[in-house]
Amino acid sequence: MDGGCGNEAESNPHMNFFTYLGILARSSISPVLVAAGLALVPPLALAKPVLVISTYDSLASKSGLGGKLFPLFEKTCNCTLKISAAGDAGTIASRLELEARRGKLRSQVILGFDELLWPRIKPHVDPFQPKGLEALLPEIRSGVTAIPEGFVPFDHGIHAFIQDTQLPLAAPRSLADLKDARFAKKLLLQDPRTSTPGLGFLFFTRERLGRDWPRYWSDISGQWLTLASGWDQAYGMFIKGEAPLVWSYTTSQAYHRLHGDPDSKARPARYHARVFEDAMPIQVEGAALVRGLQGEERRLAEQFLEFLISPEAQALIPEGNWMLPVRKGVALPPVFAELPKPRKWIHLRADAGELKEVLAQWNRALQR
Amino acid sequence: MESRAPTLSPDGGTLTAALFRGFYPVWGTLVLGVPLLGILREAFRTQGTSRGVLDALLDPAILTVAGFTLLQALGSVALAFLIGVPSGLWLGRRMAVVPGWVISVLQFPMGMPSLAAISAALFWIGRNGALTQLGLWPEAWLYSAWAVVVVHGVWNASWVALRTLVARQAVPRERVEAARGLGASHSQMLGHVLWPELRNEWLWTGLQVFQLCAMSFVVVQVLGGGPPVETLETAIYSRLRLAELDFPGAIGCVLLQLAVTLGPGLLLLFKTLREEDARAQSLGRVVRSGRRSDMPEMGLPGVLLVFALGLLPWVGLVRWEALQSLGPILQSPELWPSIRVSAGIALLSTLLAALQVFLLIRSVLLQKERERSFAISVALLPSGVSTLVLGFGLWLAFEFAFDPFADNLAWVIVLQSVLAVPFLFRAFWPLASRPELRLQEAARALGASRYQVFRAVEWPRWKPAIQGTLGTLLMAGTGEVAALSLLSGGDWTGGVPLSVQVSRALSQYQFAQAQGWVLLLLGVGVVLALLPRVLAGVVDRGGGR
Amino acid sequence: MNERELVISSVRMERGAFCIEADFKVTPGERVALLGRSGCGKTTLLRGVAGFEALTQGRVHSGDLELSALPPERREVGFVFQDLALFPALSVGDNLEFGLRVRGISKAERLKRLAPWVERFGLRGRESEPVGNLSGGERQRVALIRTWVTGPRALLLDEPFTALDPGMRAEFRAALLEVLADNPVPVLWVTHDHGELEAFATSRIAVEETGGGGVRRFVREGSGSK
Repeated sequence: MDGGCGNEAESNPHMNFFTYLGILARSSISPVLVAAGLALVPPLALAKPVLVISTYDSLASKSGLGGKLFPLFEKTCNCTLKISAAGDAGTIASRLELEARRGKLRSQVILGFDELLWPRIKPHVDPFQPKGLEALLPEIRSGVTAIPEGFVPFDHGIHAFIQDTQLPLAAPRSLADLKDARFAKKLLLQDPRTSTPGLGFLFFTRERLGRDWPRYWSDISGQWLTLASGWDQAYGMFIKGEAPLVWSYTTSQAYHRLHGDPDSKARPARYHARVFEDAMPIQVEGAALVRGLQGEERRLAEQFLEFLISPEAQALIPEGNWMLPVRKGVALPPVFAELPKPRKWIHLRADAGELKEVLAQWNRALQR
Repeated sequence: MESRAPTLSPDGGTLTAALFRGFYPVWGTLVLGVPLLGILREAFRTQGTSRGVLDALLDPAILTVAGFTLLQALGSVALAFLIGVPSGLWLGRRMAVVPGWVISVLQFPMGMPSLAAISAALFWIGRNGALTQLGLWPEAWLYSAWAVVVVHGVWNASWVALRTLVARQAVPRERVEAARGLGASHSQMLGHVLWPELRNEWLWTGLQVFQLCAMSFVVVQVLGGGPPVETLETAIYSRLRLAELDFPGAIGCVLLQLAVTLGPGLLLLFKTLREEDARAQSLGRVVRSGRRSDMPEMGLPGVLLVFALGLLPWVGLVRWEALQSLGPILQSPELWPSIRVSAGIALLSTLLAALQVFLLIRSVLLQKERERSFAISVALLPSGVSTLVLGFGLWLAFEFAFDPFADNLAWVIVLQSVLAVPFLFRAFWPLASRPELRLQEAARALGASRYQVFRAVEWPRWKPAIQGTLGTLLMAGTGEVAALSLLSGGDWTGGVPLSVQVSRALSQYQFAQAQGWVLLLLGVGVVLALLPRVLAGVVDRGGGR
Repeated sequence: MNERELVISSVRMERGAFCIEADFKVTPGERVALLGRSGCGKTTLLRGVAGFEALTQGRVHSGDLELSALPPERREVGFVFQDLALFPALSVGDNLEFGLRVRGISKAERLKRLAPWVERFGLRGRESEPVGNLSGGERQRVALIRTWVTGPRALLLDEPFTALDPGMRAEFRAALLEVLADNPVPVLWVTHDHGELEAFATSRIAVEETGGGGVRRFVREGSGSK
């Protein structure tokens, strides 16, 4: 509440009607807080510099990565972080575009997009490269071609199918395998139009199958139970036992190992991550500096990006975000170290305008 | 010097009357015209061409989706009526007066958030669902168009039953008894006595259910099994989420959406408006009886039917793991801030919606007869427009004045209230358009002041509608997620709304905890839904002596 | 106490296609019937006297009080509607007490004033019932008592006997005569039934149409039976 009032003063120096309504909304709930908030307005206006970070909701949440990452940074930077949370990565990109069109960019750092969304983010960010990039894993350093354009990786995940071994089923070994009859209605995938992992799977098929990919999708349309609207929908259904295979990340296995599904010879674990023999797509999440920053703002933003790839921040990634760090030499908890690794990683990239075209093609393939 | 026409005359010349009369076009322009134009303008500005809109309109894939949207909605309405109408008629035969609890239970599903609906549905028709395991739900129907239609149908059947029941109550008993005395069978009774009274109610309720199902998003996407089972709402979402913002395409889809959801509605409207009978449409008269007994005459089968309609589909929500995870949630420091914020959003958006509806009704009443149909269509428009589009549109249109992404719930409240207007309008309009003039005159002849007339004559008519619809809105408002995820961003320093708590838990593998938050959300919703009832009771007691 | 003359002086009510003119008096104890075909404007005139319709011209007085200057709730004129207009949401007792309650009279006093009428008209014990439970005749009596107990200056009745069978008509007529015996006030009532005229009216006023039906004048005739 206090932060809310203070920031209203900063972004909206004039208390217009709607801001007032917003305060009224909160004040009708708790009059004491309003008094406290208003009392704090002047002091906060003169307080530490503020860095606004635009990111997606679950990263921003206190029980997520943000809960540990942001306070850690605030300690070292002597500043206040203001998090502008959107629903998901796509919404971040949309807001950024719309704000940029008006020349009124709210945030200084964009955090949480991946390589597929990069074409939408790129025009609005600075090609800044923080110090410390040499410490990144070589596969990341070379694989993420957008780094020179300003893409600062901060975590990555290896896509995989998670299998519920309670239902007997031989794991899929390749994309072609998924067409097999034994997988009929046994897969939980996400809709590429509304979900980044879903989009990842789509581009993965495109990458591996070349021009045949639309036919592949027609072929496997009987194989999925449903295309969930998002990762959480799909995974929730997976946990309920709706289907034995769900498209997720290898780190999901780590989560289960640490939460009620340990693996031992006596009692084998129930949930396992399955990667294809030849290659699996990886999703690299990144951050970037918004274009046009100067002075103190820029300094703080640069500092944050450097902090992101620092050992202290990277150490928080595994259990904070259930992803893998991008920095070399970060000690992983044992359950992370034993995750399956594909022989080859595939980076999923798209050019500007390609997303729209591919999704349209995909739609057509499925309508037939 | 009194006129016998309704209290508001179209020819009233005062400034206030003129202001009221002009309200509905201003409102329509502000909340719908401006946002849609804002998106259109953005589309032209950036994508530079109107071809984009036409392309979307004429795209065979989109047209197929539009067709499916229509079919699926019609099927859902048919199923809802198949279950709800006989139930409502059967219950109506057995009750002299509809007890408040029956209204509450039958209304309960209308306030259910989609988040909960999926979970509840999977309990019955998921792979491990109760019906599936009993062999009553074929494997081929798992995650298919059938699943969508059944879920929609069952979800709305209770509402159909309620409206049928209440309309049935309004049929004068003498008429039914006269018909029975003349030897009419049940079907003859239905055809000759009940049908004329219930027909309008059914048309309107059918339209309402149709619109809800046509606009459905999450249920269709998840339970439908993926393309080609999708609605225009999914098509719109896909144009405004991951790929670049395709405004022309979104507009094309919105236009189709308006045509699908409102087209039949407007036809209905023009046809039936003149024939509306307020008695058949109000939520029933509550005749205060000396009997204190709550046990209705419907007996055990009736009670069971009511519970089956209103509560049985939702039992899957009350899982043991969810109940267990309520424990830590109830001890979390985030509990009360979350409840406060969600309750605050629900309360304020409902009140704001009620204010808008009040002003709209006054405005419509002041129009000449011929223009009323058009005015009413404007009031009902928001029910045919995608939340996402409206949200984006409001932002594009009004963000010069403010920033909706600042930690500011005002716009979530505004958006939610606008979306609630058609529902409230639909419930209140029949009451407002046909006031009980005779009773009002009787009261005045007996010396009652304006306020006393209201208390004696109008309040009893309005009370059930107020309790029912405001209660439903409050409950639905606590579960709101679409407007929130779009229009609000911030670190929620005032408290994280309950629906956001759910999605946060879900995205961090905490599925049991997410269900716990859902249960809490429902609990808060139910408490809020009872609030109008409590307040109505206070008003009742305040008037008596 | 209520010995006031009801004076309708030079009243004119313009209603688009036609207009109504009336100029007559009703003395206390008189029961004047307004006669005419359906739709000729008798109910309109009655409603005009009660204050539910606007007068284009003219005045209505009750004794010294100019009714036409007052809103209906202050005219103290009893009006019994054709469909009785009992409040469905209130019980029988609440309906009966309504007029007294809105005048701020205490519960005890209300019950005291109603008691003799409730007793006389056989409604005792039915106070807590919904009005829907009453028979047609009982409802008629409730409508009458609830108006009468407020002590009106005049009584206006809109087709009071139309919906009743002969037995009930006789009962209601007797009830009316009983209340009026206590306190004769001017009674103006609308009917198109000649039988009732004979039985109840002391005089009649019929409508005279001129100007091709454009002007309807209510003119007094000779007296009927007592």
